[in-house]
Amino acid sequence: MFHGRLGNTSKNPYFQGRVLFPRLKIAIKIPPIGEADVSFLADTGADRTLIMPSDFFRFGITLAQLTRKTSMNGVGGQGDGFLEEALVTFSEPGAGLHVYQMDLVIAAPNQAIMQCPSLLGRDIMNRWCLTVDGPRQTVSAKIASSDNFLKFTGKVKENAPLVGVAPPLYRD
Amino acid sequence: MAKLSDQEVRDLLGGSPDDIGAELASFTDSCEVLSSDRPRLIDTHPMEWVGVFRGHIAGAAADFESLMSQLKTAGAPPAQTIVRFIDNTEKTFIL
Repeated sequence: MFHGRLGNTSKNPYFQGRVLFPRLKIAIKIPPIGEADVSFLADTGADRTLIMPSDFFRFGITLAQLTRKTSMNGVGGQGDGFLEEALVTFSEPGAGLHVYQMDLVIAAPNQAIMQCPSLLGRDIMNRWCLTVDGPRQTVSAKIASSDNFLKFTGKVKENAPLVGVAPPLYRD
Repeated sequence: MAKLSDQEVRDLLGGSPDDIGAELASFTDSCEVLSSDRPRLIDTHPMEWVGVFRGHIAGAAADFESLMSQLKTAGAPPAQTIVRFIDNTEKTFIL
């Protein structure tokens, strides 16, 4: 079982995961290009998992590197995008990493969707038992299956602070 | 895509499962700042792009490009920083 979060004002359900594009990953760069952590809005109406522009730009890759054009339909009409092979990883505390191997959709940037969150679609959620508990304000998932499961060993490397990280502007 | 083995996936991820789990936990902590009531970003950074890294605000700007520049200066890797526009107008998403 792992837990998501509800947006502060929207109360929308979100889950955090790591997306890696194997074809585009350049591991020698620091931080590596072609992978990023994403907070996905759980959207049972979305057929596929989708990366929106505000997240796409954090991967350090460019649109010119995407080659497989596709289109998609929503209430806003038809939109353009790209397909890219990806590994999508979720961490279940105390258990391990669940990895999904899939074609991910990347929405072509346009101003109208710039502020939209990336979507977690049914291509992943059909493999979960998802609970959105409105009265208790919690969201959680029991993962029924994944393509790869990498078990935790209990040994975590010391996470050294990065050089030059700014001090926090405030603490809550 | 051709199904990758556990070892191939492990090699691509480039770290131990425990380390990646810890990094994702840190990212989740950063996301929790967006969900926090103390303070509410909608009050402190209305209509701004905000980046949160390791549980703390690493930058805030009126436009996305300026925020990305701030994150670089602050040493916050964009790939592990949650970036959101804090909109104080009510929006209804029909997705």
